[in-house]
Amino acid sequence: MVDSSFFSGGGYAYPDFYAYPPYFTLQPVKETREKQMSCWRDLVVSFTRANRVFEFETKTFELFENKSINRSLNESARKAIVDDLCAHGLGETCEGSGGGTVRVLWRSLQEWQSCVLDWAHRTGRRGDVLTVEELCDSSEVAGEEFRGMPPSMMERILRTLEKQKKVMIFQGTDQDDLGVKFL
Amino acid sequence: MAALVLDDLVLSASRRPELLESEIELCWVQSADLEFDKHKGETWRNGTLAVTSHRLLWLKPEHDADHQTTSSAPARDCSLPLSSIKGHRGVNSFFKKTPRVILSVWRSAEGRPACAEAAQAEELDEVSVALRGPSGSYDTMEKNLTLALSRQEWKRAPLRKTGLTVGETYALATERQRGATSSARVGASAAGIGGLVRKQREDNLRADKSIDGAFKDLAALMDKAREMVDLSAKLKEALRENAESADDTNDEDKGIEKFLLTLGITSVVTKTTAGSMFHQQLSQQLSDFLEEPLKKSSGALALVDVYCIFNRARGIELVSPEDLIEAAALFPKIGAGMRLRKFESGTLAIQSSEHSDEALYEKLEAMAQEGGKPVGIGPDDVAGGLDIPLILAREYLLMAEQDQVLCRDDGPDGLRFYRNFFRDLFEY
Repeated sequence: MVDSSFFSGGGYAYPDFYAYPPYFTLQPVKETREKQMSCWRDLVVSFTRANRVFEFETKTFELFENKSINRSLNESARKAIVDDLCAHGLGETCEGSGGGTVRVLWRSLQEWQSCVLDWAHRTGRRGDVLTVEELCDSSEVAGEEFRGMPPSMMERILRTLEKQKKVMIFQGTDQDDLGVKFL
Repeated sequence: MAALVLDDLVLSASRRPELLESEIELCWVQSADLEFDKHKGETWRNGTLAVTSHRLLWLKPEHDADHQTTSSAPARDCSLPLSSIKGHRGVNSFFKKTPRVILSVWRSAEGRPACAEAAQAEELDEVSVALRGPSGSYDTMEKNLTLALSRQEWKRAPLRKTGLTVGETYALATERQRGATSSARVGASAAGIGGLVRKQREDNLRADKSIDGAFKDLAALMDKAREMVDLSAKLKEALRENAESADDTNDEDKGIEKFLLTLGITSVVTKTTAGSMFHQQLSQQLSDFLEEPLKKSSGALALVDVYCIFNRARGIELVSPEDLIEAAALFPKIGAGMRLRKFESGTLAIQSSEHSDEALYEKLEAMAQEGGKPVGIGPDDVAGGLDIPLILAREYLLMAEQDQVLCRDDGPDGLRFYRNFFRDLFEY
């Protein structure tokens, strides 16, 4: 899910405080913790946007561990950050993951909806039928922001669009294979 | 004839009387008036009276509201040596509301109380002490005054002589115990090196006993008080001489010195002597006592440590933790230069009034940086850096965390604290 180029030293510049050990300990004092949470919120959003991360596993998320200073967030701290993200509308736990997988909304769902619709209009897809898979990752969507999005997330976006009568979703031959038609 | 002129009484910072060498307090009573009977109209009202082994002490009320401006000699803290008292009689009748103890006092030509033996003491004057305090004050005072007068502590010459070694002081102390019966008898068993060693051992044993043992009652205490003061004074002196002669005073000496500082409150405040004024008196004694230890430990002491050193200094009549807390809580009331502090965790400490949290935080923040780089500090670093007990260091860190000066890192090295950079991030 994470662009591997990031780990080979590409691109993302961590803020200074990422190297401060207390950043990885859940602060017990309310005021300090609020500031800490705010820092984490900003970092998660900026990191995921920069690296085009759509989902992460709370338990294993790379960002939650800084090996260079030998610090890692503990379970309750991870949960606190995820809860805080969700509370601010910047994330949601994925259906059926038991809360373990988090969808980061560095763009809001509404923004993604218009993003997808915009692409369909721009490329004259009205009336065409595509699979969700194709919509997520194929040469058709090369260079689009939603490229690489997990199908489950795409489905979530399309379901909303379906309610707005913008698309129609139908079951394909395979159980996992969903088709979508832009209206 | 002019009024009797009583001696001034020197008080400590916390308004505890400065006692003479080996003088001990026997009791305290409140609401005592001094009436100089032969000079009508002269009454010093509502003071606090103490009977000690050597003197009567009278402290004027702290807030002297009904101060008599008409009086020729305004009330002041004063003392009357027991040696000048020829006799006393009590007036405690069912029909009179206020019991009195009337003292006949020898006076010199200048109008000062004089020792009975002094040749010029020919005149007698009378002072009555009116006891308006709680019932029982009269009995307490009468009893203790009689005891003190009968013992005539003041007649015993102070033991202390200059130039005695520690050993000699020990010997003197033990000599007194043995009394006349076992004077220096030289027998076969006492001869030779073996005899000397044995004698030394016996002496040591007795000295130990005199330190440990048998401060059973006030009368016995009076016997011991002088010896103990002498002993501790002597030890301190010897140590000081040592320190002067040797340029590099090693840590061990300092340790002993520190220990000795905590030795020896001659006249301990007890419930028996202070009665209803117990906590106030105890508070005063405690604040006087703690001045030195507080200085030595950077202005703060954990109450548990205070409890230990204070009780060690008392030696007998230990105070309970509850009484100690109550006494410490009275510091603001008696205007002591320290206060009781309760930390979030419930830990109690006594801090010098000069302590300020802001200054402390600055120090902590400075410690959490090394060459401009943030470093983590733990209780051990703070205890070492500020020279304070570990338990307080921990409290300070938690307090600083609470006030958003520091933040925690619960890493592999245990709990460390860093400068609160979160706060910095949001300051602009």
